Amino acid sequence: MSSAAGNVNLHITPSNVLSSGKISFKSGNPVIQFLIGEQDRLLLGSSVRLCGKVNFWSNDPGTNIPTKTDSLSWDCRTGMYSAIDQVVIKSQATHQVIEHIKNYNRMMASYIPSTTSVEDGYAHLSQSALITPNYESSKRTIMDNLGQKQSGNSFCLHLPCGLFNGTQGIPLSGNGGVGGLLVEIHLAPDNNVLFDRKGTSVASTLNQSYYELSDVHMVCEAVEDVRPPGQTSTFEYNSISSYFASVNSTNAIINFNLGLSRVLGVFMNFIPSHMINNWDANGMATMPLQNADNTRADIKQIVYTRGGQKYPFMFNLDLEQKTQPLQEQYDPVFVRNGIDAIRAFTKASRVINAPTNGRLKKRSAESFTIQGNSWAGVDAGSSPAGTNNANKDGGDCYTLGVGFDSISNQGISFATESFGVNLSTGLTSDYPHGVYMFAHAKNTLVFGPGGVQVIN
Amino acid sequence: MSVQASAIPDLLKIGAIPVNTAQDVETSVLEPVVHSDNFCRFVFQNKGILHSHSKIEIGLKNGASDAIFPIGVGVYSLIERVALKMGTKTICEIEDFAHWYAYKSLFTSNENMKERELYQNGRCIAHEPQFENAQANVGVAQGSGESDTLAKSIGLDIGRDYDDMRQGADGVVSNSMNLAPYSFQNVSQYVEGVAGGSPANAPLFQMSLSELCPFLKMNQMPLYLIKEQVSLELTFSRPGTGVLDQTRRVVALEDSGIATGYVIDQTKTRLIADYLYFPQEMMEAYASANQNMSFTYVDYQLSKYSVDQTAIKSQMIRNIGGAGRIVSKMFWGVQDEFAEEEYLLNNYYAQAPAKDYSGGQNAASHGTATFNIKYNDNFLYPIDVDNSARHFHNVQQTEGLVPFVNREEYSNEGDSITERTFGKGVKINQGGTGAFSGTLAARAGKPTLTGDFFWAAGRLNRNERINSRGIELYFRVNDLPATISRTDGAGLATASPGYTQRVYLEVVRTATLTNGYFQCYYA
Repeated sequence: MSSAAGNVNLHITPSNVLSSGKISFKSGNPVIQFLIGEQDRLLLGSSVRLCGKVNFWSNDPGTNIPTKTDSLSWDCRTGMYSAIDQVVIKSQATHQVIEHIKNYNRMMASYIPSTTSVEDGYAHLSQSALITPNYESSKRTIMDNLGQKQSGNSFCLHLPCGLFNGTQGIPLSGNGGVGGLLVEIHLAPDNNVLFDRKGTSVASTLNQSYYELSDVHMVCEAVEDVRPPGQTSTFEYNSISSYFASVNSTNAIINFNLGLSRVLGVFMNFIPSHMINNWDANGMATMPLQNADNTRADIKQIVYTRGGQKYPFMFNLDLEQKTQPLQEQYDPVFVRNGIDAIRAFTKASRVINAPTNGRLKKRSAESFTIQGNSWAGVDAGSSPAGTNNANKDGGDCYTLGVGFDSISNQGISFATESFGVNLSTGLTSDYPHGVYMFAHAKNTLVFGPGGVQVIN
Repeated sequence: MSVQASAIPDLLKIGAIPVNTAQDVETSVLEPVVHSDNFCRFVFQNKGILHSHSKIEIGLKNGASDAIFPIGVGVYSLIERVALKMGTKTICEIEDFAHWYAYKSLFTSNENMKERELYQNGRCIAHEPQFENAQANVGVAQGSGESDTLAKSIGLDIGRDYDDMRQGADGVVSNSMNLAPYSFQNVSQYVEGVAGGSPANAPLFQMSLSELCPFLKMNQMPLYLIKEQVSLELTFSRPGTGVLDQTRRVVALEDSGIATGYVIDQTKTRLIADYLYFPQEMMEAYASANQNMSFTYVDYQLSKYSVDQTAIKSQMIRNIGGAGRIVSKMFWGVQDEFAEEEYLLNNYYAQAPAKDYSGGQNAASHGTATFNIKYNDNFLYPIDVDNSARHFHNVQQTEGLVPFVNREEYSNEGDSITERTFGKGVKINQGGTGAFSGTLAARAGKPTLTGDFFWAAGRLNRNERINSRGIELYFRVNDLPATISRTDGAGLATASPGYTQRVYLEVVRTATLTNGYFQCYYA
């Protein structure tokens, strides 16, 4: 056992940082790498935090910060998470991928409303993740923060993912462990993080805006590993696998070979495809389906399949909108299953999902002009129809999902059989939607003198 | 009938007893054996097992002017020191209790604050977005100017709305909006409709024994096994006598005079003690099986120190103590000694670095606090911590709980706190503008909660006993706000004594109960 063992706090600086210390997608370095070195310690996944400061610039040279007179915004409910496109965790010794979550920000767009409350957003998440679940106060306090040019907006993010959410310590040893970790953070493109709330980014030149990170580092805690060295051992952890599809019909079919043997749940969210990487729309919106004229294209029936057979429900899930097309509230079963796919519904005591952000309606322009108050005119206007740029509590929380096993917590095998979902929708026009799907599964990591092996 | 030792449940463990056991609860109302405006002592009856959630009921006499308990700690603002004693031995004692409790209150969820704590003890730190409400503007009809989605800022949520369209004495509808405390929060109560005011009963609140004594948070006290006198001693915070000696008990609302005369109503103070009883043979068997018992618990040591606003801009190293002890965590904050009845939190806050957003984007900035801890010749953090979100995270890691305060309330970063007022405005602005004239703060809600929860903490995670050198706190704050000065009625200005840094160490202690007598010592 190394004499250096013992409980420690680690402070990891990026291994690929530029001499300026500034990191941004726009400047061409969207990947941040952290090496958590090989050592005889167990990494406490829950203690891992991505820290740093973020600045927002509303012009290309990066000399002006946004102001309340412009309409540059970001998704207020995902906050700093919207800037993370991918999280990749590898063994440092072998570079074998242990977990890779693509579209991480889209996953968080469903994860946050299902695991935290509005009060969490206004309280602790405002400090740690720069979340403030109201579009205007988020803009005012973070993006327009006058002090950011000199001091930056501080953040210290937990990175929810299967490996770091586990309760077991992650052995960092090269002799019976993962041999250190290599954590890669891929930043999201500026135009999928920032947007012009009024939808006039060309005229306002806000399409030159960008965000920039500085003083980036990762902190974590590691405790002494008292296991005898050199033994082959296993480590169980959850992982998130991500998939992308698009739907554009009244009978939308999504089918994937997950290749996972212990799947706990699958959840997905939707966004009109044109809103992805669009300066005029919130790319993190989790909206219901809609038609080209912004009218409702409700899901009326859901059928989940496993290997072509209905599973886990042996029946068609008929949503309320099938027989009551004017019903505006999300179907309760739909909401429940969406939460259940992320966290067992009975344990989900803190959620943002509520009737205020669970309405099916025509997506008309949302006015945020306040008539008759002294503030009117400063940022008067409205968000474009069909978007989710200005809604209450961060807007819609439309997550379709199904939990497979919240009792034994061992999951269902999709190793050899495909997962499918058939949706009967009202999508009668040519209006493609992107579907971001995430499968939550248990994995086993086997490590020993011979190396590391991930068993899905 | 004898009872097998293995069948005896751990009666002192808080939580469910995993057997089908009959349990009786007897409630006794205890009056203090000694009570003055500065001190009181309760003596427990040595019977049964004391339930840790027994309550103390306490309140003030009717005050002369409007005031409420500080919204961060509520009625606990009355307690300056608390001590739990067995005979002549002190089991646990906390100095500057209300400051300690200000830190502990961070971890009460906003929902509980709003729905429970406000009624039990007057704490009410909860948040909600401040949606645009109808406000008065010349030429605009009432009812316009509303939005149910747009909120510029965040305000307090106590379960009622901010009052808009306030009409002043001149008949002009005001644009300012205010959140009035509930009537029951006001310690100045008068019978309605009685000309000239007829005093009515001031509100009573309750304090939980487990909140007062950390020992009781982890253990229930087997009073029937103890042969010594068990007493709880409370030393009260100062009542205040005037401008330069303000009260640490309440927060004066606007239009009020100096909040003097807020004395404890000694006829109302009482302890409502719940004693638990189990079947007699079980309690006897438990007593005979546990003639030697030991309890491990945590106690808190306070280290208090004056810090100068200028000197703290350079790195300071301060020995906190803890030599020879097992210290599991520590937390600290600084307070201006003149932040008292004119502040929504009274003195029970922790000052964040200052910010100045007045100079435009090229000059605006917020201050930075840099901390590290050294013990047993090693630093806790490999690099000094200066990121405010990281400070917040360290608090979270230390306690295993998240602080339920907003970013601007914690670190002063950003501009999220509403300009709307709470409690008709506390009397003066924070920042030492010096005016004590009875004039109103236009934005009391913001200046009093911005940057007021900047507690920092560290968990000493190496599981080591502290060596003879003790713990050293390295700290630097590049910009603390100017200290407050007060001006009395004659126009004489008096500067604040300055900032005080309070550091609490959580030390592990062990107590033994042998044949009815307690002994306690540091682990």
